[in-house]
Amino acid sequence: MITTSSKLFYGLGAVSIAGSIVWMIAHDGGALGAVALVFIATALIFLGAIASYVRDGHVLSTDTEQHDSAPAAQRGPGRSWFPLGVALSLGTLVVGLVTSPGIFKVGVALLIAMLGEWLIQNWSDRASSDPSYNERVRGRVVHPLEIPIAGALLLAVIVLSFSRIFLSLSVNAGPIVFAIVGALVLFFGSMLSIRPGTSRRVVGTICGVALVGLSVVGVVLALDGEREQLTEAAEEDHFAHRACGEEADYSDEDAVRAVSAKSSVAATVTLKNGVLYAEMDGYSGPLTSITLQRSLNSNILFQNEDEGEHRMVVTYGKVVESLGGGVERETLLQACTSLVAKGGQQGVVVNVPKPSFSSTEGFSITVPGLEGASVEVLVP
Amino acid sequence: MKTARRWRNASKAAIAVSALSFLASCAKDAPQDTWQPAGPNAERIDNLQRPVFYVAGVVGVIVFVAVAWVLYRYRDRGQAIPEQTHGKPVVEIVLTVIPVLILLGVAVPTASTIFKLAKTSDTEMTINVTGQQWWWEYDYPASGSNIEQYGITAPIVTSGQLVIPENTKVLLRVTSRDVIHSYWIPKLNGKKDSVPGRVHLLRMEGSKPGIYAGQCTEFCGLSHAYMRMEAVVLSRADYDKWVANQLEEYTAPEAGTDAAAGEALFIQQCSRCHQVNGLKNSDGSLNIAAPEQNLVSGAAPNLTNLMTRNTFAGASWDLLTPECRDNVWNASSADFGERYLAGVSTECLNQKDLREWLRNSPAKKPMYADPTKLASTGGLYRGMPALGLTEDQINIIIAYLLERK
Amino acid sequence: MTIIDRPSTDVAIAGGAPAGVKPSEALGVFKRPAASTSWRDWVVTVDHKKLGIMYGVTAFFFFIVGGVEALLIRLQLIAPDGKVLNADQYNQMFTMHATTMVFLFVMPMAAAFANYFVPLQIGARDVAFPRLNAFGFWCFLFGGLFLNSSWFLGGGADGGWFMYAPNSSTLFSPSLGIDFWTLGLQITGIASLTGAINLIVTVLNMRAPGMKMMRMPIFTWMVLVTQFLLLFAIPVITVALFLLTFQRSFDATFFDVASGADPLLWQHLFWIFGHPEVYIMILPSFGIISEVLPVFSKKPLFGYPIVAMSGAAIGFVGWGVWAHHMFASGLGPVSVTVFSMATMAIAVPTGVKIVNWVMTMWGGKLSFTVPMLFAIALVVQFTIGGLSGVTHAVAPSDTQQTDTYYIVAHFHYVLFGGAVFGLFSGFYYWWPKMFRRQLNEGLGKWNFWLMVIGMNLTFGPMHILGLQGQPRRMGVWTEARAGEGFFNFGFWNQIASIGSFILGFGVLLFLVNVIYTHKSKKVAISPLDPWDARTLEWMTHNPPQEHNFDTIPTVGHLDEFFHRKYETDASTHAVKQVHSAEEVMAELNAHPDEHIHMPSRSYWPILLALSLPVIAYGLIYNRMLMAVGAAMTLLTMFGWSMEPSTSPDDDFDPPAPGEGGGHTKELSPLG
Repeated sequence: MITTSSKLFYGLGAVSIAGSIVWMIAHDGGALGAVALVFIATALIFLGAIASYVRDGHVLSTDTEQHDSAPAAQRGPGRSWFPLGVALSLGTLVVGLVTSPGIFKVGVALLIAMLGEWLIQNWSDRASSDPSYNERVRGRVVHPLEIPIAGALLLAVIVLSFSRIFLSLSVNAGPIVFAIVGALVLFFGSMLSIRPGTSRRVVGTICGVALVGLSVVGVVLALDGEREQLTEAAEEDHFAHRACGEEADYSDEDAVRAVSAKSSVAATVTLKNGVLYAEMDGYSGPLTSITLQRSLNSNILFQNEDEGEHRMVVTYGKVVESLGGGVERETLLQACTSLVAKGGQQGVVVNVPKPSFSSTEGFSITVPGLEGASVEVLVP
Repeated sequence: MKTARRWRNASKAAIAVSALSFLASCAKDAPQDTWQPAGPNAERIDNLQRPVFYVAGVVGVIVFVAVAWVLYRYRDRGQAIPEQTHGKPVVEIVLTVIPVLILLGVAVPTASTIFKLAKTSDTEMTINVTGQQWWWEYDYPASGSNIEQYGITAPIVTSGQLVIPENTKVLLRVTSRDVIHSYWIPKLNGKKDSVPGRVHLLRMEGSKPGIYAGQCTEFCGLSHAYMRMEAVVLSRADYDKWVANQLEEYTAPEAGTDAAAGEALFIQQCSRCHQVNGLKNSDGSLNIAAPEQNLVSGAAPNLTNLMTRNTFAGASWDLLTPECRDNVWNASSADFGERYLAGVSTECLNQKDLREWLRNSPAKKPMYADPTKLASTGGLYRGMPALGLTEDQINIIIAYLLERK
Repeated sequence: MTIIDRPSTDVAIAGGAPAGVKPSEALGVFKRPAASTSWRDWVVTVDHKKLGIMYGVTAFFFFIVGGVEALLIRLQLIAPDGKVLNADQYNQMFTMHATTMVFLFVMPMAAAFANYFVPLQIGARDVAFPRLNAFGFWCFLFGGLFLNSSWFLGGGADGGWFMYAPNSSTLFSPSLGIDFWTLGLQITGIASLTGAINLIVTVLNMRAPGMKMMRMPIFTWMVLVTQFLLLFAIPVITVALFLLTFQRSFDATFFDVASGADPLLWQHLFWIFGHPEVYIMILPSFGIISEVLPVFSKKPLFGYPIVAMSGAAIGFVGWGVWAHHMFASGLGPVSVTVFSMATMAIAVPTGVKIVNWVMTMWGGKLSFTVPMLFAIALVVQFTIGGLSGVTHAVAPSDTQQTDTYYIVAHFHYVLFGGAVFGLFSGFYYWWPKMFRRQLNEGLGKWNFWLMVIGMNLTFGPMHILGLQGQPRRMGVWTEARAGEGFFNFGFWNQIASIGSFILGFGVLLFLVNVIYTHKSKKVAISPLDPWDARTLEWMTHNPPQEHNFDTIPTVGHLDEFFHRKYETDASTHAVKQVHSAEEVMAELNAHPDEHIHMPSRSYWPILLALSLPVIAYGLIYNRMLMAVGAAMTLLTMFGWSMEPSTSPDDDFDPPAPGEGGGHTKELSPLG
């Protein structure tokens, strides 16, 4: 009557009851936790009773004739690596708790995967007494999940390793390594296509070695870190803000040279023959001064029709910060385009917070490096 | 009898349509009526739309009469099942070709009017119109023909009432600081959306002095219904007077008056958002308002010459009492300029609405100026908040504002 | 109830499929649900007729919801400076009214008719993808409920049904209402798209023998064109909604001007969807009255090929006119001219239809039953709406009319007077086929007249209000702008508001009619062919059996049913009845098909549809919930593909002549 699993439930129920008593003592009669534990105990005992009643679901446990012929008795599960796998995932999980959240999440994912697979394996083992049939049914149920996930993981490993390698190599070494690896892939691919009869073992070994090599090198180089330039750029935020000077800087490299024609802009500013002039819809002819509204996002398009790369800079005031001890730092408020080659266009969105009469120098649009090329900006 | 009823239904529809179009002209003086042009641009539109409406009306009547007749003639009177005709191509073709011809006739003047209304090469004056939640700002830039021909030597910034000289080809450069609005003065031209990040052009020209009402016609949030404006057309002489007045230097109020106390309070409270040109702080420096630090849209109406216009809060309320308002709004063309330029005097000031506004503006115009909703905008107001002014403070502010002429 | 059905235990040890395991059980992992007569059958059904009824009931419920929202709007506007709704509530009300009416009433109600009648009209037994059909319905239901749950969770969407950017961004619309709107419409969009694919495949592949495309009933033609429109339009709105969702929930900058975006992007995307959308709404109603008018004129549809082709033309040209919603939005004069011309062009195929409908009645024998009254009313009202549409095809004129009540009048005439009247015509026409009884003619006439009078009183004055300058989407109007004189804003607004209540009452009468018809003992069961109709769907029982036809008819003519009942003398053109409807049916079913294979019921469509709102709620409230929803989606898709392709219990063996027959197994409780 007291079956195996009911023992577990009764035991846990007893533990809960004991725990509730201890709680009551420890918390000076604080009832909430004790109530919870008593409820848990009740639930567990109830489950235990059900387990007893249905005899752990072993309907056939009383039917001793079936003991030999029942499917569950036909074939022992044999060796299984699931216990090891689950233990390892649990271990990873615990390590991750202590070290880093990333490892913890990996441990959780592994644990879920292991337990899931174990569950499916157990189910398919008992589906019928024909192992090959069981395999087929298991495959039918689980392959639509397993295969895409495995494929995605494989791709992730390849792509990540690849990227870590190339982030570490210097700018010159990269293309060389790429060419070599590409040549190797081409070589082995050609070999395989010439000899289609190559055994699976050989192909498998080659791919396996390549994959392992790639991953190992990838992990090593990932731990080693990216090449200096990149680290420096990230730390100093090279690509996030644009310097508005004459020389090129990081944000100008590979900047979009041509902007898709923006319609209905506030003003178009053109550099031609060293002279800067503006055109605005609704005004005829070239203008040397434009009026922009305050606090308005205005699109200004810059067109370079001169040789060389130039950028347009809109200066609209300055900010003065006092750094203590009577020292002040003046920063110009500027918005600028990237460097634009001849014939190119670039736009910039400008939002001027203060009127131009609030500043003694006034606001202007200039091209750094070209004296005298300027358009006045009036903000009422 | 069912058939008689059906016939009645069809004819009722016909009568309804013709009656509607007839009655449409019976509404007198709807300020935003689209069939009463007061300027050449609106006239061009009206000259195009009237014939189209009439043709549409005629076509409609023909269809209704045809339907009514068919229902009457072919109702079930016990006749035999009719011949199962499947179609007569001739009828089809003729009755297709006729609408095509009518539409061609409409299409050609349509295209020509579209291009005429988009023409900008004959512009005589350019004004920037900026929409934001929930009012319109106008700035008259000091550039080009504005300076040479109209004496606008420094930029003029106003709100609510667009003032233009009569018979002048004005071009509005319409844009927005926040969401999409739409600028529409029906008696002077069709509407044009004001889209943030873009500048759209709209011709505006009035043929006779007067005040013409308009409304924002693109849904823009809570107070879309309270975003109104007017266009004021003045004769050339009156317009020059207006410009001169707007460009006058700031005169501080006399010391010791209510207005002077109001000025101090204005600097302390109101100038966080509102700009008055020429106002000086106590240390002598120019007072520069900081709406970009306090408002989502980054701007608040410029109050330098508030009392030269006669509506406020997005033209939603009058600054004039009802009699004074009638005096100005319903003036004849000859008298209008003088009465408008008189501005708002102490006797004519609509104390009720202005006081309610100063007391608690969000209660009057829904704006989310409620501090509890500021989290989503990072602490910026969306409209004028309730400042918690006492009645005395309101008195001195009004005294100060009355001098803004 | 076992969900996982394992094969029996007496198996062969050697390899191969164990003996005693039937193929369907061996291949499927999850069992199909058994048939039943209770509510459960409706939850797992894949029958196009049941789904059509569910679409219809749900859509009508949303019609009432949208109608209440409209009445609140009219109450607010009956007087100046109204106090019924505050500004925020008003904005939510008009947004949700429009969204509900367009996406949750007109489109699904058309889908209801399409689902029920297209397979019947083409002589098919169901649609091509029955489970997908069910999935579509549940997506619509859950999407609609999700969208409207916003009312209880902080307020409805408040940016207008057109949801222009940048007003729709979180800076200007911080409440969650718009998030509910975007995600709800994504979910219902899935319903429309899958339905479109389904019906296109059905119509192209599953027509009865002899039914060439030009012998299809005209309703099916219009539905086919509509589905093609949906197929291309829904992806556009999907993209737009994704962009908006990413902007609001993940700080994307698609419509952020300070980052360089152009707000017109949203407008273009929305209207490229939005204009075909209005044709999606009207074409099925055009199809319905193109069926009704011939039946009650006792003449075939005049110019059938032209009507079909003009429907296709409208569908085609309708893609080229979207920017007529943007004439004031700052497009240049060239674009405006092009779209203005295109909009005028599209009036032509629509006008052709009006001509054909009137010519159908010309020379006919008109009986003014309620469906016929609604059909005639559509012709008249749509003409008014179409003509006002032509007046704003003229772009300069449109710059005065757009965003005023003139536009509101126009689209309500074409949508209410057009689409909705067509739907009501369909209700009264097809009710006896679906529900065995004819709706009461007397009550129906009251229903009709109140709706016509109410509609014209409500929307007629709006033409004038618009021309007098009352803009739309405004929570209050003011005396200062109302005009002097008697016939000013005040007068016309009052008429419109009173009319709206008359209209509401008229709609209520329809419900009264339905209740009366089904509750009253005095209403007789309808005969098989109460209207002396012309098309295939009438060659079935009342209501059609689950397998629709005992024998699939072979089609020799357009209006096949009519040709089986009547003969035309070649010389005199006189028409004579040779068979009654019952005789035609008896002849058709004399040799019923054997062993008719029908699609089986399934749990998975509703379960998969249920996972979508879970993801949506998760996106709004708690990203973990999204993961749960995504897992649900994945697993339910899994279950859908894993279930047996058929359950042997769902095939039908018709009775041999003289015997009773039935399903191969009795209906048993689920288990």
